[in-house]
Amino acid sequence: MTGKYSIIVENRHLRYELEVKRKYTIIRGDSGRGKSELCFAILNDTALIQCDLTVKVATSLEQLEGANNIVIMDEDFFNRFGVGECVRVMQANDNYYIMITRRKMSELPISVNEIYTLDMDSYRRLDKLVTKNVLSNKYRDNKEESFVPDLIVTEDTNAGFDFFNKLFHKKCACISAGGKSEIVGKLLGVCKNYKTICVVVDGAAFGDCVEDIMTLLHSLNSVDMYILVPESFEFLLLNIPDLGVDTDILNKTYNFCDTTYLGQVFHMNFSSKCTESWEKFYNTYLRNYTRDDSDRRYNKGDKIKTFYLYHYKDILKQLPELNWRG
Amino acid sequence: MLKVYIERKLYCEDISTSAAFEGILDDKYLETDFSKRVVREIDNSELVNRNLVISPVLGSISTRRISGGAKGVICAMYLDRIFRVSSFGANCFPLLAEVCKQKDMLMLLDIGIAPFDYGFDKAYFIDSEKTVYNNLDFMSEYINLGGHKRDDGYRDYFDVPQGLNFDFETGKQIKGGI
Repeated sequence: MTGKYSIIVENRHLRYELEVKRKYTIIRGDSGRGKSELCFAILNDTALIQCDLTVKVATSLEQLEGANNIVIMDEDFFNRFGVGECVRVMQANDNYYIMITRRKMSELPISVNEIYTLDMDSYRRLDKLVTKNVLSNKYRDNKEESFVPDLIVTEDTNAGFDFFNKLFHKKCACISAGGKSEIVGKLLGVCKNYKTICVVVDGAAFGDCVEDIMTLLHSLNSVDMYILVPESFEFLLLNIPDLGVDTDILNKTYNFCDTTYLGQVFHMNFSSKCTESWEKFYNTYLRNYTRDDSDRRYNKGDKIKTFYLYHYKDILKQLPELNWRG
Repeated sequence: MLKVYIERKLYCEDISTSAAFEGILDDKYLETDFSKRVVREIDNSELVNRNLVISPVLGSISTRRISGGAKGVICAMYLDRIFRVSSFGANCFPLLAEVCKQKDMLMLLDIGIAPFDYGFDKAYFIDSEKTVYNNLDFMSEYINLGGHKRDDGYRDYFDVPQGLNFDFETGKQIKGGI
């Protein structure tokens, strides 16, 4: 399923406005803000719904099935049916899913940009949980400044780590966390030894870890930590102008993240897993886009090609908070 | 005191706040000052009696429509059941801290939190038998026990009974059922 869809749910008491453009969207936050009221209004037919697609609140696992619908699940739904079963059905079907839950949902690729909280006033505006490209315990007064790290931690182990290590090894230490689930543990291990730590993660699938990291950031006083959350490392590479990738694909990925589109471009069949998240889409696209060019060929598990190191400025300008000249 | 655990143990299961509130809690507890305060502070609404809440947004509503967090805090005070931390928004924790000053509360730590921002004075980890007194130690213990990597998504709700009685001191099941 592709596309970006605006949803407005409104009655005389409340108005919810939300835009969905990825398969998984999360709504969470403080209690008593009206999250469950959204489901109640739709289920009991006490609200007008404006959306180009069918919007429904799931009350059974069967209602998660199908394609081209927008399906909303409340926390009680997960309590009743179990997260595992819900995940299995969601992964096998082609709808957009909105989950009202504070659970991690770590089996699903949740983007940090698709986690929303509800505003307090009677018009329930949904605010993004993560509003900047960088999370930090330093930006307490909302002033963003560039920083010079003495340690860079990458989520990636191979190409992504290789890139930052080759660029920065003379300026600061570089390590790989060894994957998304290891980042929080790695940060806890190194935070005593460094003053300014930069972490680079794939924001398009980091949503399940973001609150643990924000809580850890909140608890750390002796070290300045900056978590950079670009969509993914492959997204940074695809934005190199010399690669010649159509910028629409990068700016409006919601229109292209589809196995049909990939099949048309690369004349192959692709599994639905390749488009379950934008992170996987960018990886699949870059790998296939460069497969016939030995100088630019990209594979996540390989060392980074010189072409990408040569264009390091095009990559680093997408991370403006990281002061690489310092 | 706040007691938390990460590793699921058989017959040591959490219950949803809605199930506890609507299925188990005696509704006489909805007429206490504490319950009224919970609904006022979390839902910004007035709990009139066991059947009626006045919401500034929704008007007169049933007590069944108060938020899951408010239900959970009321149940935490008047029941001995295990809830998961993710059942509560951050705005519930100051009241939960007050509950913990009066009784032990056992929770499944399925997400990371900073409890000492909300008035908790200590927290006990059942898995490691360790007591912590600040947020950094709390998050450190949570991470060291692998809490950040755990996803309990694949528990089959129909195989394991919910809400069994649990000895909050030892972490062991007490004989008996729901």
